[in-house]
Amino acid sequence: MAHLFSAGKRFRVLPGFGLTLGLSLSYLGFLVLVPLAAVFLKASGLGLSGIWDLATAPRTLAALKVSFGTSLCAAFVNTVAGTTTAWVLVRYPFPGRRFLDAMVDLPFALPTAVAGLALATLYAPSGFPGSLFASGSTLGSLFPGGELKIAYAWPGIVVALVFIGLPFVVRTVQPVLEDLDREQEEAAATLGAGRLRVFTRVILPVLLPAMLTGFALAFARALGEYGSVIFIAGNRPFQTEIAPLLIVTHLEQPDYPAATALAVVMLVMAFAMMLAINLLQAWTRKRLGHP
Amino acid sequence: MRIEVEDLHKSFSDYPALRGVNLCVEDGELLALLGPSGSGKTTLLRVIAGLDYPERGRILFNGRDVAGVPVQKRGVGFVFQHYALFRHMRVWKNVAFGLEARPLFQRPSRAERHARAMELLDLVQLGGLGNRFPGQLSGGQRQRVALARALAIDPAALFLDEPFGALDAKVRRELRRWLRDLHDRTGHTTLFVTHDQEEALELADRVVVMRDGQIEQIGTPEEIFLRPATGFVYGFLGETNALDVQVSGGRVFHDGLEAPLLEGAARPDGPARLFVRPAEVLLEPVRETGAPASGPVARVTQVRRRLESLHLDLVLEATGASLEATIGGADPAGQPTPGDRMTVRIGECRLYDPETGSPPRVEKK
Amino acid sequence: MMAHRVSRPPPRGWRPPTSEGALTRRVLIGMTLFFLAGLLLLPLFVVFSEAFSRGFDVFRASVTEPEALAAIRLTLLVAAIAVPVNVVFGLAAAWAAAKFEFRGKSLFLTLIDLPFSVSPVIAGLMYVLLYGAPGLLWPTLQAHDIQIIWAVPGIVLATMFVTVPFVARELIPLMQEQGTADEEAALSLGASGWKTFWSVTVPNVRWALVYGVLLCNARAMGEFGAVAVVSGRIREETMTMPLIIEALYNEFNGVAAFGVASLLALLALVTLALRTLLEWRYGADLAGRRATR
Repeated sequence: MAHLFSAGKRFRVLPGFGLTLGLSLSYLGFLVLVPLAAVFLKASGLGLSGIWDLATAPRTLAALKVSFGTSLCAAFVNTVAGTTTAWVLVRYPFPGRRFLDAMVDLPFALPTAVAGLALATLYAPSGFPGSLFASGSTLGSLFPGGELKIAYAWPGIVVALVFIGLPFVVRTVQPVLEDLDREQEEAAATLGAGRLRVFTRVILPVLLPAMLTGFALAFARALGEYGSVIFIAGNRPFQTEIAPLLIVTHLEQPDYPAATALAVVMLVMAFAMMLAINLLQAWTRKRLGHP
Repeated sequence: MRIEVEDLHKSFSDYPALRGVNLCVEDGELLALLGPSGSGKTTLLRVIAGLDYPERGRILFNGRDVAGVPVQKRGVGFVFQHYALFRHMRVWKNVAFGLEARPLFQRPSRAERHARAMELLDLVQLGGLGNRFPGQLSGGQRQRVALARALAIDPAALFLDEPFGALDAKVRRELRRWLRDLHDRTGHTTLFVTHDQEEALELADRVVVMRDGQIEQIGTPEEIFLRPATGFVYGFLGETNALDVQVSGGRVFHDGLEAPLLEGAARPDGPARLFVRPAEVLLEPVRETGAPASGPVARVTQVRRRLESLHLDLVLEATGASLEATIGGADPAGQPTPGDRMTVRIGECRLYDPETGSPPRVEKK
Repeated sequence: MMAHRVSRPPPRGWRPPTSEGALTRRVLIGMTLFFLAGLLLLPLFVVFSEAFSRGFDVFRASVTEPEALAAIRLTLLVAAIAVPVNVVFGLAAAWAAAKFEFRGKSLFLTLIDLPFSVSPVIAGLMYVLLYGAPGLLWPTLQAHDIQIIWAVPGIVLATMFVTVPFVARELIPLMQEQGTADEEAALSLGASGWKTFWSVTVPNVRWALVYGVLLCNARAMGEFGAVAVVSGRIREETMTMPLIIEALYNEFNGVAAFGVASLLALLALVTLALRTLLEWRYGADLAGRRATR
């Protein structure tokens, strides 16, 4: 460790390198690394097969399935809606644009519990717009069973995850759109390309890496989300129970090995996502490397 | 293709960019739009190409009004100042883009597109670089890819916006000659925008000098250089001294001087503005004999070394007007020093109306 | 010169080369407005409308209940500890990462970002497994009668964990951009390192610091998952505002839940307003990231 973080042999003018790095590393070690190590230490006591057995228990698998399915769904919705939002915010002047631009960050600033509470109320069959899809309504009758249950069901989880993930996509795509070279679009137009072709062949390829990054960020965030979901999900085991909730349930029983095993599985996935995002960004920089 | 432009007006918010431009470009001509930045030359090019629309006036391509024709259908090749290559596409894909963008039934096959792109890359001497990405090319190479891309659509005319603006001086001179060759071979009607006088004069069949959204003069490089129509054109083509003068019976007086600066000027009496290049300000040291000097006397205030000449700042003693002069500076002996007094004679010079002859506006790029 | 000129519309058939048709534009704007209104504005509206649905007096009563007051006090206390600690950490980490080159720097930066990618529930679990009943340190802590899990220290730790990156993330890019020239100049003029830091570095990054503190504070007061795991939910002792919202909601006390929620929503709105103001006024001093807007 000491070797890893040693400064080069170069002479340094500014003071405080040892002090600040030491302080930061101690803090991170105390707050992040040691507790993280505790999880893996606890997990190592279970052995790989132990973790496997716990992680493949039917209820755990069901929870992982719900988490993955809803997160993928939400990240997908976010990528499409977030890119559209970014496009509209960057390209089209309309009254209230600045206000909406600021509001996009609301999910970052609003506590998840508040968001969950509000969304659960809105999308319950008694709330609006939840009532639009409730049993006996015109829209609801379009769905099998005569209603579309949003809150306390799968779609409700997706709604909550779309809420918390939206800014990730918008704020990743927006700067790329702002920096987009308008001359490239003009050049494509002079070469005879219609607007749709300009979008798909000139704009989209440049936007795609940012959209993918936004997708991955929103997905990673959705996988770990807890606060906003538990209000709206209904939390029925095997149906609307997400993986983080199952960890909490295990903790309350208390069943520490099961909680630990599931946590390790999710941590590994989170780190894999982080690695994927980093590789994606490195690849993008290389491919679109500015001259 | 013959391009006619009649009474074109265009403004951006409250700033008029074009104020009544009339122009006719003959088929196969290589025409330069020359002017300082802000003179409207790029706007003119963009409006003709269809990237912008005029508020008033007509644009005719071979006699047909193209007002309602969108840029996609005007069929002009446009080369942007910063090339605007598609960074995520290989070079040959960039060149073939215009072919790929054709309507489905007129679109050549992929093999044909590839072949045509390669052919064009050979034409711009970039054969073999088709599989690179634009980011892997030098500035001059990118410029030529942009040109090949514009040529791929068999354009009716070729428009270039400051084509060499972003390149260094040496590459610039090479590309200039090369572009002239290419034009002579392909024969496209070509318009290019530049703020570089040398580039315009060297490259173009005719030069259009623009200022404040209007055309000052149209002519061949010879005409422009030898017979500048206005003081602005004269001033824009080189370093200039400008003096307010009065013409009276062919004799030209500078305010406050008793002796005429010049005699035998073919101009009606009245106020005028005299333009003279520093090299035509002829100097002779005043001999301290007590005899009156043979012409107006100026005092040297500063001497600066240029590569093969000396540049002098002078002040006319009688009026305080400042003058610049350049003299051969190869001989180290007899070089003037600040404080020296010199007799001034005006050599080759021009007289313009005071209003059109106001000194060129200094603008920052 | 014409005094007032109205821009003429383009001729029929002419299309701007870098814009969509008016219809496409309107449809896209409409869809976005609809989507954002339903997803962002409606929840915000319902929080306040529900909170005041029985009138202001009921609202006031619900947020001045002993339980609610205790939760507000605890939330303020936790933020008052976690935010300053993370400001000190953020400044130290940014100084080390932005002003010096060293091996393992990218690992260091990844470490700072790590809490962003760990589920808050797992963050809480980590502390339970370290300081709680199944933990390694449990016997030692018991011997000295120190309670961390299911007590305020655990809540503070969990909050500190989830807010680690906020200040540092704002400062590092900006300080990297600013380089070391200002500090070197101050040192060459005889200022001490400490003096240089306070009178050169901190003023240079003050708006980014305020920005980071705003975000850090919003998250510290609003954290739910990590805190829920370590809190133990002891009434009037370890219930923060988000936790009391959940408890009230589960007791079907909607008005009270929305009452407390409206306070947090107000905090979010103030945070958003302040950061928008900061970006407006001092955009260029905020790490260039959003400076162009």
